[in-house]
Amino acid sequence: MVAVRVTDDSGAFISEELAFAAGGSPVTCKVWLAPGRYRLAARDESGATGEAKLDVAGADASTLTIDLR
Amino acid sequence: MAGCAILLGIDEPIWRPGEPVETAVRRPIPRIVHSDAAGRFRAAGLAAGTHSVAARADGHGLFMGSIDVAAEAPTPFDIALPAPAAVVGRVVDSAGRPLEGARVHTKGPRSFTFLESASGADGRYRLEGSPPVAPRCKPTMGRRRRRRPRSSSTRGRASLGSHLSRLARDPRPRRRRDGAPLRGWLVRAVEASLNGRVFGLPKITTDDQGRFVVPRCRDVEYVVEAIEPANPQKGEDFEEVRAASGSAERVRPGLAEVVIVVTPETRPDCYVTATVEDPEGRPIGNATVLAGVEGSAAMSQIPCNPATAAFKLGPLAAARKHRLRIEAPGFTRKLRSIGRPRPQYHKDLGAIRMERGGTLLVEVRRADGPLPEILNGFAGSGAGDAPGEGFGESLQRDGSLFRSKPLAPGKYSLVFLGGDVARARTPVEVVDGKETRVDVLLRSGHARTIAVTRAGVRRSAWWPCG
Repeated sequence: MVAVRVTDDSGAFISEELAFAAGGSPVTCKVWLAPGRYRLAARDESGATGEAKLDVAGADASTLTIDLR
Repeated sequence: MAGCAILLGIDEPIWRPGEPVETAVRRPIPRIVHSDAAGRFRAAGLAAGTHSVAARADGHGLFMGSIDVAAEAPTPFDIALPAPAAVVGRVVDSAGRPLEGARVHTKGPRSFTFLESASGADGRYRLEGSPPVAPRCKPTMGRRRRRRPRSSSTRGRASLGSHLSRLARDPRPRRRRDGAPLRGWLVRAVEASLNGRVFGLPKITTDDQGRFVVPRCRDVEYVVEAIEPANPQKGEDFEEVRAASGSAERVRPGLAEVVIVVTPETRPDCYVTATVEDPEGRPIGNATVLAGVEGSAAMSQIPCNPATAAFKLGPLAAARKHRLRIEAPGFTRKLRSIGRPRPQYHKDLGAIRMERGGTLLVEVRRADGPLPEILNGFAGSGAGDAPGEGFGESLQRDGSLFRSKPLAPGKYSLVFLGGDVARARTPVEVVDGKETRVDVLLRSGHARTIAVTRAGVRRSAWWPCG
């Protein structure tokens, strides 16, 4: 299980989603966001963390990948 | 019924001293689920077989039963919560005099099925919504605690993971390096990332050599805590002695043996007392007082005298900071920190004045469709809301209206989570003594899939214990 924390561009907390393995790796989750810029931080139980930036402009089927290190 | 909490596998112990680990690891893990708005619940991942079930919800009695889970198809199981009942009685001492402040509680697995109260000045108590079991009475307030001989150091030993299997199977007692083994102490092992936030914790006890087993460990850091039973004869309820913590270690499952050292500083013998008052100085007898160790989300409820609103927290270990959370209907939540007390210290905090604060009434509409059936609203006071602290105060939903409990005056951010609505924050301000009405317009969000990979790090896996 991985926790994905979503903050807006100013660092204000927006949401925290839990990502689970769906029939294998990688673990995934879905988040619904209004247009804007966001920062995502992921953390798993072992303490490994990863970060990514996300721009939401409109409907988009792409997948954002975060690497934990 | 929405919001009913259901616990499965409630009374199944994880490990009994002397029991082979191979037997213990096959036992199901207790798990808790909540019913949705339609009253449905789903507990996935249960092993086939018989499981004990408990369910409770505010305003209803406790349900306890068992379920036979089939191996192939989902097993339907309807739960009808009984009407709430009350147990009333009186606590007297050996001379027949009423005993004030005695703690009266039900026997059973705490944290879920547990109910407790405190006797008033006439010794009378009342347990609301009691499960159908005989209450236990334990006068913990105003009673002198039996002094134990002090030792410079006492050691209990423990190991995690596969090494434990070897220890558990080894019939030869190991040579002690120092101190005496802690027999019959309770052990709490929680993943460090959970920050103490756990439900249905298994009961683990040290054996005659001070050893214990924590099966089903994962390859993550744990906080392992040895807890002195408050009463060696009746210290069966784990939660009962949470406040009487001994000592804790942060460890990772591995081949190294964990040694938990208990010193006079970690031996609990400090007390803190206070009373809860309204802004006019009147006692609030129905206040709820919760206490826990600083840095841990786990908190225990402290009985509050219904007549004087006085409570007594302890015994506490001197080596730790503690925190208090006080709640009362119609008042804002109050938080207090308690610094490290000296051994055998008794501190009176005096009167804790509650504030009435203000409330929020939020009407939520959606621009492009109906509101999701499951939509949760929160009012957070901090810009970031510290990790693990949740989203802030939960709002009570009634159709499209969301109402808050009394909040301290100040600026808040509203967050609504559920379905495909866009996650966004709405700033609001709570005014003292007033109800602030706010309109929030939700919109559909754009869905993004987040994939998380573990590049260059060891993958998490279930620890192959036993």
